Parts: sequence; C-alpha cells; structure tokens
Amino acid sequence: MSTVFTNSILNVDHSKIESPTKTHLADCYAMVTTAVSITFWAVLLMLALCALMQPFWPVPQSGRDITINIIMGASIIIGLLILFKYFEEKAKGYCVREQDITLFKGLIFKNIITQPICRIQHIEVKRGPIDRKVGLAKLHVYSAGDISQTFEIPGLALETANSIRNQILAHKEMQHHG
Amino acid sequence: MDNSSVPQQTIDTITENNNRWHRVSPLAILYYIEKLFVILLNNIFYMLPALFVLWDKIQANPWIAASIIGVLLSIITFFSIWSFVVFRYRLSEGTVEVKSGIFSKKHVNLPFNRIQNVKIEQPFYYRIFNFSSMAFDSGGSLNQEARLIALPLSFAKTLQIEINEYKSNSTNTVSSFDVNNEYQLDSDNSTAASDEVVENTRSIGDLILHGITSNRLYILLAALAPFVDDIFSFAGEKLEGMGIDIQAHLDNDPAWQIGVWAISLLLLVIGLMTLLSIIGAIIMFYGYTLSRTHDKYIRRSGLITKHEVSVPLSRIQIALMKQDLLDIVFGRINLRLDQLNAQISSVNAGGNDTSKLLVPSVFAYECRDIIEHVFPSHNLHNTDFMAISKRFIIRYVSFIVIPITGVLSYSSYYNEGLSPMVPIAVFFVLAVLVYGRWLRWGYQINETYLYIQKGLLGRDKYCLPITKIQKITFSQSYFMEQNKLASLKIYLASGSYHIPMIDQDHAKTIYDYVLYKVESEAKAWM
Repeated sequence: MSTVFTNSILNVDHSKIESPTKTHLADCYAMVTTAVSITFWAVLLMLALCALMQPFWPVPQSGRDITINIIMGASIIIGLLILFKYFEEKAKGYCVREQDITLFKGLIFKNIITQPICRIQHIEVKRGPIDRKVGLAKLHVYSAGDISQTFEIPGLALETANSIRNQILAHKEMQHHG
Repeated sequence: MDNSSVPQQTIDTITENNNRWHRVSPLAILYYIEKLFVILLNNIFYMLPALFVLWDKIQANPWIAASIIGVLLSIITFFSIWSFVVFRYRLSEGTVEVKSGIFSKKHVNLPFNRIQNVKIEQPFYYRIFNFSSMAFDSGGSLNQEARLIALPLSFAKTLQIEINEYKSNSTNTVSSFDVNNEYQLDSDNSTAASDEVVENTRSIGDLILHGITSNRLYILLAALAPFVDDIFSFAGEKLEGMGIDIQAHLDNDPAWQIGVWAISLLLLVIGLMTLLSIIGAIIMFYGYTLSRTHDKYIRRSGLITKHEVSVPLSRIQIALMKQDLLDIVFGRINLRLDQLNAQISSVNAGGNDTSKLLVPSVFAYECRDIIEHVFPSHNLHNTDFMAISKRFIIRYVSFIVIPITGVLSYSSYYNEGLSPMVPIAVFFVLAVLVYGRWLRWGYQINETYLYIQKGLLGRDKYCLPITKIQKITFSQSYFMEQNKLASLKIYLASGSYHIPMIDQDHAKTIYDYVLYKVESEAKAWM
C-alpha cells in the first residue's frame, strides 16, 4: 500500500491525522443502566427486608436493629455509587477513525483506549434482553493478548453498532487484499 | 478397533496411516498418572492445615489413612487408564486431530500451518523407553492446544520436521530447511534442522549462580516474620520433647553464646534454602542450550524431565531483562523472550517457566546478542531512560503511605502495646521504598522500540517493538490533568505494560506515534 497514510475521523473530510473526539453514547443508555441497577438493588433490599420480617423464624429484636442499621448504611453507599455510576456511564463515549476505534471512559480517572483496526481479531455485536427492549447494542472488539481487558463499547443504537461493525469488516478486507 | 500400535519412525507411515484413528502407547498411562499426581499435590498444599488438625486421628487409625491413600491411588490409576483408553489421534493430510477426555470430551483439529509451536517433552519415565510427548499450540486460545502423549521419540522428531516442512511449503517461501531425516536415537546429542546454531549454553556454575540469585528467601523470611513467635514456641516445645530445654539455656547461658547460636541457626536456614533453590535451578536448567535456526529459537534443558521449546522469532512479542538484587550484585541478567499470552499461561501453568524462552543468569553482552536476532538494532542494554514525574512519589505517599501510617498512629494512640515509634518507622521505610520505586521507573522511545524500566530492589527492563503493539490506553486522573501528567498502558499479545505519570504532551506524542506506526505499517505481529 503506497497510498498516503491518513487517519481522519470517519464521515469528516480531512486528509490528515486528527485527534479522536468523543461521540456520546445513545441518550437513553445511562438512564437504562442506572434503572437496571436500581431495580436490582431494590429487589435485593426487598428480599432482605422480607427475610427480616417473615414470621416463621423470628429474628431477635437486637439482631433486627443491627441488621436494619447495616441495610440502611449499605443503601446509602450503594445509592451514592449508583449516582456516581450514572455520571460515569454518561461520560463514556467513542470515536471511529479510519484506522482505529477509540473508547473514552472514566470520570475521575479518564481513559482513552485506542484499538487499531489492523489488530482486531474479531468483532461482535452483542445484545442482552434489556438491550433488545430499548434498541441498544454492545460492540465487542477482540485483539490478541490480555483477555481480561476486552474492548467493549456499550450503549450504541443498533444501527450505529452494525454500521461500525461493517466499516471495520470492510477495512479488514482491504488489509487482507491490499 | 484393532490394536493399532504406534506407527514406526518414517514419514511414509504417517501418510500411509491416513484417516485412521490411533491409540498411543500404553506408556501414556504414566503420563496421566503424573498429571493427576501433580494436581493432587498442588491441592494437598491447601489441605495441609486440615491434615495438621487431623494428625492425631490419623496416627490413631493408620489403617484408615492407609486405605484412604490406597483408594486415592487406585482412583488415579483407574482414571489414568480410562483417559488412555479414550485417547485417539489421527494424522491426515496436513492436520493433526486429537480426541480425548472422559467427562468433557474434547476434539481438537489442528491444521499443520496453524501450528505455531511444537514442543517435545521427555519426562524421566519416557526417557527409559525413548518415548516423548508432543505439544502443539496454535497461537489461538488456550483450549486449542493439542497434545500427543507417548510417541516414540524418533516418530515425534520426524513429525516435527514434517510439520515444519509442510508449513514452509504451504506459505510458498523457499525453505532453507535442509531436512535431515537421519536421527540419532539417543536424545542427548540429537540435532534438529541443519542450519541450527547453538547460541548459548549454561554451565553448572551459571546454574548454581542462578539458584543463588533467584532465591526468594528474603520474601519467605518477610512472610514468616509475623509468625516468628509462634514458630519459636512451637520449635521450643518440640525440642523440649527431645530433651533440650531452650528456656533453661536462654536463662543460663551467656548472651554471646545465644547470639552465636541464633546466627548459626539463621545461616543454616539460609544455606538450606539456597541449596534447595540451587537444586531447583539445576533440575530445571541442566544441560541448557539455546539454539537458533534461521527463523526460530530452540531451548532445551532439564535434568529429570527434558524440555524442548521452539519459538519462531516472529512470535516473540517482547524482550525482558530481569535482575533481582543479587543479580545486580553479580552482574547477571535473566533474559526472557515472551510470546503470546505469557502472563496468562504462566498463571495457568502454576508459575512454572519450562515453556518460556528464558535464558538464566547471562551477561549483558550475551543478552544483547540474543535479543539482536529478534529485535534488530535494539538498544535495551544501554538505554538512557527518562524519569517519570516526581509526583509519582507524592501520589503513592499521600494515597498509600499516609493512610497506612494514619491507621497505625490511631491504633498506637489507643493501644498501649504499640510504640509510637512504629508508625514513624513504617512511614519512613515505605516512603523510601516509594522513592526507590520512582528512581527505577524509566521510559524511552525511538523509531522502532519502546523501552521501559521498573523495579525496586531488582530491575526489569522491557523492550517493546512498536509495530507489535495491539492497543494503547492514555489515562489521566483529575489531579494528573491539573499537573499536565498522563499515564500510558500498552497492550501486546504477551500482556500489558504500564508507564505511569509522565508529561502529558510527551504521553500524547508517544500515543500518536504508536498508533501511526502500527496503523501505517500494519506489520504482522506474529
């Protein structure tokens, strides 16, 4: 390939290297994940309270008080964590350039993770039941090496996820025949 | 199924016996017994406390204990035989297929040209019969590894050559592989393909030195430190049982005598540990040779079990010069050339590094020459590393050292037993350690390589070829942003490597350059 190396952000007309800029995830994504985790913890809280109040194996009064205090403390901490997580999810973003794909994440620790497309081994669009309900998808990008660190862009509209996937696959084709 | 004994020696038979499933030699049972034993022994480590508690009961009923061991042994034998019975392999045109497994059946189908690595191992129980086991790995996920256990050594060698030949033919490169079909059967002086050059050998002296330097004694001592009291009282009781009253000696003997005893005891322990470490090094690295063909490094070593690892040069992801404190004193270096998933497979293999390309205790110039073949014109041995930001010290002191000191001071304030000197001493020791860590950190980049140095008492130097980088992370915390600092994390197929807290602009330049280099050249990383 003797063409001039370019790495501009896709869909933008420039023929030089540009720094990746953040595209935000789908609007509903942060809300949806937060709602899911609130539901999960609420159910857990209900279960704990039911277990405490059920009449079959009565819990002694002192134990009950301590448990309620612990549950209240834990609820406050979890509530704060959920709030933090909400803003963290909201801060996530991505950028697809000609030659690489970038994920932005983190609120206090900001990470910019860039995966060159020529190093991608395979790519998957994944959708859980909730994703399907709200029309979202996750894009998983795999490269060699550290399995613990998979590159995953969550909260993409399904069309966006598919089009990114297709763009990357098209690029890989070029790599193989070029 | 007919009793298909292992096919003999020649390539003809490999292709002749096409499309038929073969059993391996019954010697494979030994292999399975060993494997199960190793699993058992590894787990016994966790059962030791239970054994300790139950010791009295075991002593009271030796027959029950013996029968439990007997049952265990027969279970092991039974499963080993069963594993052998279900094990089948097939060599057809350009592929090796292996069926194995009792409960979870596994069928691996590995085309020759996807095989990255052929490893011939000779455990001691195979050497008597001149047998070997072969491991192929495909460079993909770990469960795509195939293993042919219990093949005659000569057959294994022929197969290894055939695979290499097949690969070089199928990639249409003119192979300089002059295949030599005549093999000496005694494994000791067998040579592989004709362009093989011995690059490095290790003498017993080197191995003894390696045993001394790789001794993890001080770590063990540090780990034991909190239990010193318990150990001494336990030993005291035992000795008393043997008729030696430590307490009486401590009370009556002059102080110098007790001091001499303590020192000689300490030296005895150190000596024993060092001896063990030396024995370990000799068992693992006896007869070490590192040889090189035009496209791969081959490492052979082992006293009891002979290991042979061959790694194509193109598959090596990183060169790593590791030095412990004692290595620095002796001026030796442990050189490691890591390939795919080195960090993961070392966890899986229980930290044993027989499968790694490791050259123990070499001098810097030997390191330089060995790395030179893999990463031409590298400069790892005498790079001028650039320091990372001094804020590294501030970060670790304020987020780790001060909280620890705080907790200690709090407890010493409320606890009569803890002298206020302890938190102060802990603070200074930790602060010095953080400073030492900062002193070691360094990085440097040139057109083709990224160098990283880190360590505390020891020193590790990494040489990362930029074109093999898989992905890169640029990260900044809020405080780092205020101080115009950033960290980089670099992912290779062998694992991830970190450069903490360097100048933001410099980090950005490296980040951009790495991406530019990887994407514009798009060179193969394997």
